[in-house]
Amino acid sequence: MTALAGQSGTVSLFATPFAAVNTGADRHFNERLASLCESQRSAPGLPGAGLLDNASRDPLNFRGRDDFLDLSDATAVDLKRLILGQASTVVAGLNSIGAAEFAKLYIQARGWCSIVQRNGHVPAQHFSSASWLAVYCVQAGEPDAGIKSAGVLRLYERRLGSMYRDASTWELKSPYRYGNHTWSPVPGWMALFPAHMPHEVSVVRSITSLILVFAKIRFMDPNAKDSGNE
Amino acid sequence: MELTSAFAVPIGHTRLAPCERLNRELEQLFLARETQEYQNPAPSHHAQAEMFESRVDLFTWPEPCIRELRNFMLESVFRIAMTASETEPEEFARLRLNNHTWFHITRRTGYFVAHNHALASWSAVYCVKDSTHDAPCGGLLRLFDTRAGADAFLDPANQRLRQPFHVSDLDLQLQAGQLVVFPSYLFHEVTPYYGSDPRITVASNCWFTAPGAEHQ
Repeated sequence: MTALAGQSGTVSLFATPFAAVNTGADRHFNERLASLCESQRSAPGLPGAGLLDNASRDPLNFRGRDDFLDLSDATAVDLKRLILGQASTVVAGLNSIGAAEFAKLYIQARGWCSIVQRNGHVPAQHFSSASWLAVYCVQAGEPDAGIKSAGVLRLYERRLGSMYRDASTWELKSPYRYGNHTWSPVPGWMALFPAHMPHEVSVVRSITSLILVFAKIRFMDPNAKDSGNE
Repeated sequence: MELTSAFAVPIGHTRLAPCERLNRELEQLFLARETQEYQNPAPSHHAQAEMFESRVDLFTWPEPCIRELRNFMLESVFRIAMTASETEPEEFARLRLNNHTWFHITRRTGYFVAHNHALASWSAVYCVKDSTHDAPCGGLLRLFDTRAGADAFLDPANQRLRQPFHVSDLDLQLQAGQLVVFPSYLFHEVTPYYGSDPRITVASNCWFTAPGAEHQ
């Protein structure tokens, strides 16, 4: 309400944060991680996990158990530290909470890997009861020549304001433009965005499988009091 | 106490019966015209080799099978829009229905990304040919729930809401002869198709104008 008071200018309202971060992880780390992800194919399902395990509707997309970040394997431990560290840095930067206060929060996360073979995809999804979703790229191949938007993380446009377009709104500049947002996964990079955002991974058109690790994340205040029961 | 539904989305569906002869003629015509001459020269999304999209003037073609499909689709859209409207039928019947209509031929691994249709009020999809196999093969028409974020917080009391309150996308496996009509504002996609035979659909974007109006 006060952002434009007394001054001229244009600002973005109701913006969705989307971060793409180079975690600095090297090729050797990602190779170890890829092997760990592949080993998940033979992991037994979690008791009572039901559809959470291998719930993919696409036979060319393997989805691992959602306790991937809780494995005792050293590579998984390192990955968890990497993802949560980067997520904390990004989210702290988005917050008006002071750095000292933010540092007191603790993080809960559930993670799983997806191995998407050529012509496979990750169907549309979004997640409840989490605030952030991290998508870490372990492995990605070059798509076939001439193919656009293959194996990309695509966040869906949901603003119905896109329904009326004229010559002035058809090609708005970012961040005002209408349309889906895509991000091309690169090994060692990580995307972070609100977990409620519907998204997919488009059909992979490379010989090399796309390997991603997804992590649902939420930050908890250790001193938070229950608002009471009714 | 009364429990009502608000912010509902009208979804119309109907079926052409019999449809076998018409669909055979349409399939033959569309496959013969899966050429650059008839291809949409300005697609709204990246064109894929696995999905052919025609120009949007399909319902101006003179072929009898196209005229027959046009009558069925546009009459259905008209009736569904009229049913959803509070405008009196006599008044509604005077409106002019405009359309952009095209066909899609989708081959294995083809799909269409999530989108909606600007400058239209109703969208319709007619299935000419679905997969002939019983096994699930993708190619779903997925209509996205408009209540984005409505299920962001779940507790034991709201995670099993009954219809129409349940928050979920609507996945439709269209069958030959089936027509679905929905508001153009609704975001939707076609999921990757894994059938061995081509999947053929006709899509139409429609809008109404008052009698005598020169433009929207």
